[in-house]
Amino acid sequence: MNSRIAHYWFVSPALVLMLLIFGIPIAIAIFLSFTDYSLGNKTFEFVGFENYFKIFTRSSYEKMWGATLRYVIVVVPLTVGLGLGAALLINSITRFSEIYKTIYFLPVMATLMAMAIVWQVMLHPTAGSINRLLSSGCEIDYIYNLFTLSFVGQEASESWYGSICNGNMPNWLGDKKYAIWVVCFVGVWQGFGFNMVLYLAGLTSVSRELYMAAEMDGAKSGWERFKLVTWPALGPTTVFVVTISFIKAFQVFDIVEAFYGFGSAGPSKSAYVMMFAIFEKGIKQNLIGVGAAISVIFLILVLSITLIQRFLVERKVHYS
Amino acid sequence: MSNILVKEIYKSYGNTSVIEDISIEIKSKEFITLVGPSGCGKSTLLRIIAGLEQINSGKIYIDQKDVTFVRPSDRNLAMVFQSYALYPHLTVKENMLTPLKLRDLSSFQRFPLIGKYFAKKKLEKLDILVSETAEILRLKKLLNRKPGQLSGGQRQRAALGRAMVRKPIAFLMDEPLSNLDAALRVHMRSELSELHKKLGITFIYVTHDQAEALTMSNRMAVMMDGRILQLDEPNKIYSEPNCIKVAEFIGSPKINILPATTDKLGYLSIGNFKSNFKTKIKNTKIFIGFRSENIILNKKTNQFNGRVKHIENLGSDYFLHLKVKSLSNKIIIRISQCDFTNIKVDSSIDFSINLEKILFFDVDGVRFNASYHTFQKKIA
Repeated sequence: MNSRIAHYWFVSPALVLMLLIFGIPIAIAIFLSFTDYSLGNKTFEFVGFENYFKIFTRSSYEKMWGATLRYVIVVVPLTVGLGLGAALLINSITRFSEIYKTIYFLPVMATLMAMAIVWQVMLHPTAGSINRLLSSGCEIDYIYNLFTLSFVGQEASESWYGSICNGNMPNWLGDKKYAIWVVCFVGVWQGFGFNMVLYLAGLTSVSRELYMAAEMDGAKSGWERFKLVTWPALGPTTVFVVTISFIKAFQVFDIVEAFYGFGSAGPSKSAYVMMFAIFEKGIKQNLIGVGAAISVIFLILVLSITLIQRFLVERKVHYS
Repeated sequence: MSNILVKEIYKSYGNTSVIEDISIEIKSKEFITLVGPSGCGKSTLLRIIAGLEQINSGKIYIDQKDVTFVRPSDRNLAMVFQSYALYPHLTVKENMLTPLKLRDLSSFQRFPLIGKYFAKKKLEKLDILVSETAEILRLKKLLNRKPGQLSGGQRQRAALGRAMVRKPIAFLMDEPLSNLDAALRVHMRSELSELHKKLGITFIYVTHDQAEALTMSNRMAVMMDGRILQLDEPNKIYSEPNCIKVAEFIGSPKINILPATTDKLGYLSIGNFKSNFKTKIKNTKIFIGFRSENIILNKKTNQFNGRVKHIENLGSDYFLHLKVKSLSNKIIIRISQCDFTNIKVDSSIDFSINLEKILFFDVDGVRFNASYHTFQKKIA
């Protein structure tokens, strides 16, 4: 074997796998996104950018953008923030930390489909425990006053809680006012435990002497120590956690599928997130071209977020 | 006048006690070294003085004020850590500014982004302080670098700078030289001593390296098993250690300790060798100690004959590890370059111990003054 090309042989197994698993499918998806192909059809026609044009103009895709962006904007900061908060709290206690870790990590490990059924039961408009809890609060004066804001002079019956007490129980999953936010909530509940574990791992690498140095230098409050030592040390972890959270948020599918799999992505398509759109167009309706186009946009989005992360954050992050 | 006073402190982690009844008075502007083998509690003692460790009982005073329950940041001490503990994301200048900012600016003035516009004048003053300190430590060119871009010695100076910049009551140093290479360590020894003279601030220095303790300090405390065994000037510790443990720990190579006896007239005998050296004590088993340099290579008065087992070449001197027939312990002697002629492993060497320089220890290892010699001389 010619030793000058030996290095190609060394990388070839990885390269071949990469091409087979990533390169070729992506290329095919990009190709298909410019066609009107459907599974089973013998022929297809090139339609140029028509699929993409549809995605950015038609109102049904407007819903998709709305739902996806709402989900991402709510879920990413909350999962990162709660993950960090939980990690800091667990890191600061000496006893029972294992128990707390388990509790917060359980939703990550649990099968989401099963959990979604539990949430469905809990969120049921009449029989669900959440609405039961809300209505039981109506009979307790101070809770009623607190939540209706009547203690600051608001008209009780006009407030949100007041209307619940008047019998208008919220239909959490069926009302388009609530649907996407409930999906967000379950997404946060399910997702932050994973970030917590990543942050816990990051916290173990923070040098104890740095905290001592900060104390000697006069950093008296916990906030100052956090600003001076913990947060900078967690920089690399945060880059990773934020990127992963973004990608996971764009990929959300299972919660929507579990809640609304038989309908059409929630009341008035209010939870019509991107992955669900790909699934619905490409698989259910057999519009492979449109499905591929959404996939390509999804790919570009995730890729650009990752690249922006690298350029913006990594420059300021210190890797020791 | 005492600057820092540590009184009868005890410290334990669970059931293992790390510090047992330590009292130490540190004078103002003194360079004091806490030296001892690893695990002897010297770093813990330093952290206790800093306030970073809680104590079980005892009191600590700084400038006559009881600071036992004062938190570290309010004690106005500065510490240099073994790992330097520089903030890795900040430049050297920002590192040095941190203690100043945290003390001199209000939390509002430290507010991110906008705070600095409300504290312009103060910040300018702090900048001047930093550049003055950087001048002393020759850090000027490094001010805009991050710790990751510095060499070990530079990092060490940056850590010193961060400690110096706010003019503390005392410097606490926890093995600051142990991460440096040998040549730099020797160089930094003299630099630290100079710095101490220049600044006129109390230095409390922890090390396991007796050479650092002997060369730099005004006084040194030899610690072992959570106790201070001896606290004295370096030359006193070397020449008059108060027990075998101290004698063995200080000095390189290790002091030679041999069992000995005195007869009923008080004459000392070591192994087979009966000396005409008279001591005050009679008919007792004791230990004697002599440093490797306190021997005489003289054929006439030779007391011992040893076989060379191992030779250590130090350039200026040679250490010979000898096995002497009548003695169970190996003996290490130091001979100078010019005396070292044709000595190989297994050569036989005749030598005598300089009896005037002998240290006497009782069976419990406590040193006592047994020499009759000086006494006799005075009478004569």
